[in-house]
Amino acid sequence: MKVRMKMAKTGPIRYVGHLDFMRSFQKALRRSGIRAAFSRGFSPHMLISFASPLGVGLESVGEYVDVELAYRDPFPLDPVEEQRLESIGLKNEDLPPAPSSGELCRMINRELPEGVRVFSMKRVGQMKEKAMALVRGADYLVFLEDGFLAEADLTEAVLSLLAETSIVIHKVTPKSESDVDIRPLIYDLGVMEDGFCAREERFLSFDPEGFSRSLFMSLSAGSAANLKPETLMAALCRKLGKEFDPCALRILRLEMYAEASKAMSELGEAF
Amino acid sequence: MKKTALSDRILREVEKPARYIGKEINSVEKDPEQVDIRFAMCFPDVYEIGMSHLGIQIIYEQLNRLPYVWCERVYSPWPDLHRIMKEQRIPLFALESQEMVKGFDFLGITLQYELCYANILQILDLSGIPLHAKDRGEEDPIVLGGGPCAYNPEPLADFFDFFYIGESETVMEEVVRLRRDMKKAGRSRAEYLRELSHIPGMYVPSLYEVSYREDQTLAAFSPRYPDVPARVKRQVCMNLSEAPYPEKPLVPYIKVTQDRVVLEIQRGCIRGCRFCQAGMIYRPLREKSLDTLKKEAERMLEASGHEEISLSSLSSSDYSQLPELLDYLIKNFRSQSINISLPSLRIDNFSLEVMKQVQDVKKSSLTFAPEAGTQRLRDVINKGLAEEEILAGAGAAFRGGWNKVKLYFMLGLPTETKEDRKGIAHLAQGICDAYYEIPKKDRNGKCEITVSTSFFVPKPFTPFQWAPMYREGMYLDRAKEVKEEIRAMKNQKSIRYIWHDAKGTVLEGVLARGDRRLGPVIEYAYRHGALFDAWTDYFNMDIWMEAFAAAGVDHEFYTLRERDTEELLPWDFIDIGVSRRFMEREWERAREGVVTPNCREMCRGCGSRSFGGGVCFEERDDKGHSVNAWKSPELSTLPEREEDEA
Ligand code: SF4
Repeated sequence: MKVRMKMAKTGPIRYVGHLDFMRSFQKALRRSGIRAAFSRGFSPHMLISFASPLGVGLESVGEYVDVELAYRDPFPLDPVEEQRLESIGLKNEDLPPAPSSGELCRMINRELPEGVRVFSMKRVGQMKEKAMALVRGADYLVFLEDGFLAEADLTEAVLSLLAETSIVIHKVTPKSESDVDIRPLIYDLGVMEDGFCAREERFLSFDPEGFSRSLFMSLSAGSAANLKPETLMAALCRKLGKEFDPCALRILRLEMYAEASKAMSELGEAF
Repeated sequence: MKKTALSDRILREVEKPARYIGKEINSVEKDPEQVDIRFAMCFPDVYEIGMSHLGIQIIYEQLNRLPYVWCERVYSPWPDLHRIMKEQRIPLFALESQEMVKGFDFLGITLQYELCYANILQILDLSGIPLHAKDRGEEDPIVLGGGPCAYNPEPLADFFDFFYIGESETVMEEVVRLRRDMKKAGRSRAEYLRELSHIPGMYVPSLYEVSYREDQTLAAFSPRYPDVPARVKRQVCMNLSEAPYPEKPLVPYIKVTQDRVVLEIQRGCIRGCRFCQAGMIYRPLREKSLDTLKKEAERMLEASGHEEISLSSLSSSDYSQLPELLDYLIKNFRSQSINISLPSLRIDNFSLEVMKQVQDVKKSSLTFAPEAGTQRLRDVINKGLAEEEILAGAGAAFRGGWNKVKLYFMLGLPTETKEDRKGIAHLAQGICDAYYEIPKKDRNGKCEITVSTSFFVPKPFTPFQWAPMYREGMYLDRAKEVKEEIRAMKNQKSIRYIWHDAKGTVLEGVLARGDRRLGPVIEYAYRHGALFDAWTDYFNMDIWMEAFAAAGVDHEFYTLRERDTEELLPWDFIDIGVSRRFMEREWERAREGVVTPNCREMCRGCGSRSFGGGVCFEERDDKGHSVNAWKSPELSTLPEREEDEA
């Protein structure tokens, strides 16, 4: 059975990069006693896919990961799925029934490192697209270190940035250089009053001490067009005529969205 | 949630910040109020290397089992963080509590290789602990060292309060308990160290006096007080099956060198290669029981979630119950999708059959370590691996579908000649021949032979401890000779040659067999920028040359001369259990090119019997062979290969 988990990654573990985090997550799964499905061959691996890599130093309360578990999918599988399962040596009818999603959450949460928590698990059995292919947008909170852009009128700068019809940035990657208009990739941008989303607070150990101001951003995300919050901050700094300091930010990803602005967590079924 | 010692800003600036945050799975947190002793255990190299070290995990487990001790870990800050810590005067901290090392009771440093000596001073310096033991006050941690380089601790004598000679499973607890009791009784640091010197295996350098002759060699080495023992005896754990073992291994977040469960199956080695320090200082061979290993493998995999398990020992093929162990591992863990990695196995029909079950033949390569290019030189170094065995092993492997072979050699061995160096190329060609003898239709493309050479450095407590070394240029000349000869071979296109840098070799040689006069050299080098010398990118011999000059030390005194067996060596006061007479005899036999049988073929009375166990007490037949002299079992007794085709 394929499941999609929603989880948080907060606290010092934010300094663990995506690939390492994935490995840690798989080790936690092994320790948890949850039955994962594996590929075959000499170095078998779990069938696992993260929706969107989170940069080193960023925190999140809206991470998604798809995992194939070796439990029976309660619904009949189509022949293609059946064949695929067979190719990894599994047969749906022969698999044990899955524990409840609540129980599975408890099992994995016992083994996850401090600051990492799975909130929910949903069955996505019949859905062919991987989480990665579904992501279209993401919400962020960006906290500014006190002292950084201290004199600037952020509200004013945000308004005038949003008033522009195009915001062209020069993008340099090791392979290419190009000009990109990021204006269409900004869905929402605003200065937060009094900090913090009450909705998420209970999940967080986020300690914004020394970071009293923050911005809310809703940005395009995913493989088609991804805008990083840092890039938008750089554009904002340029608007203000201030130097951009990436180390003066703390960034929290709040949620990821699939097509039609559906939160990823709304896809799939409870079990 | 505990605060990190480093600010957010610093963690964002440095490379791989996860090295410094702690909180790894199975790391131990205790309430500082509830413990009497804070112990910082340090591997003086970068996190990824240090975390891969089994010894530290054993000590970590052992000490944290004691309710009154909290043992934490420390690794060397990478140069980027080093600079920041120096500039901003940030004190070095232990990973678990993120608290300053300076406030600890002990700072234990493992001494795994000579090129980390500058890093040791970095650890002390960043911690704010005076570099010299004699300058430390009552509030400073007691700094101790252990591990293979502690078998010649003299170059580091100035910087350590004491050295622990032997295995941690023996008297570590006593060392810690004594500190706790004396601290409670309000006794001083000096009193503690004096008392400590009565615990067997503990060497407190400040309690000994050294004098030199005019020719610079050692004249005398003796305790300053009558109650301090003149000889320090290595402490050995004789029952490994019952010894503490990290049942819950630390699981790092970032990828480290050894990212798997490491199952130590035995300690020590029966082989007696004359260049090998480990083969002498861990005598006698002691095996863990099969039951213990089964239990440990299971527990460690379960508690870590690792997807791989690797056997660890100096020569795994000598484990007397290897077939049973491998059978168990394969039967139990392959079905759980766990990889089994088998380093240091001799290549023969048995091991090939096992390897076929656990690795992809097409992708993996086989490793041989002939160490020397001719039979003559292999006899000199007592590497009991005959050319026929190598060729037979390679031939069997090729027929089994392998086509990649790695060969390891050393250059600069005693008595080595041009012929021996050329022999390396010829052996590689011989292996190519074995490959191309196979009918073309049964081959798997071209064969790929990788020849790799490192430079031999004589180590204390080996039969080669008296051997001379060479100047840097001569090492490179030797590598060039090998290279040219390989290029002249028929199948040279199938042979790749890699040689290790000679840069660190000379320094390693000086430090390995040095004495107390090297203390100022190490200090000068550190103060002038030496750090991470084991890393080619960071190693700078110029700093060290300057340091030798500044300290007025002729480094060639330590490398170029052949030492006389009459000479008092700086490490002679340590009694490792293997007698000096045995070493001398072996040095003699080496020069005669006479092979010495291994411990299971015939006991040569090296002295290790005095420890009262291990291979020395195995049952022997009337020829003197141990009943555990294990031979490749017939292939029919092997575990069945499970069908595993995708
Ligand atoms: S006493 Fe004999 S069996 Fe024991 S380690 Fe020495 S040589 Fe080997």
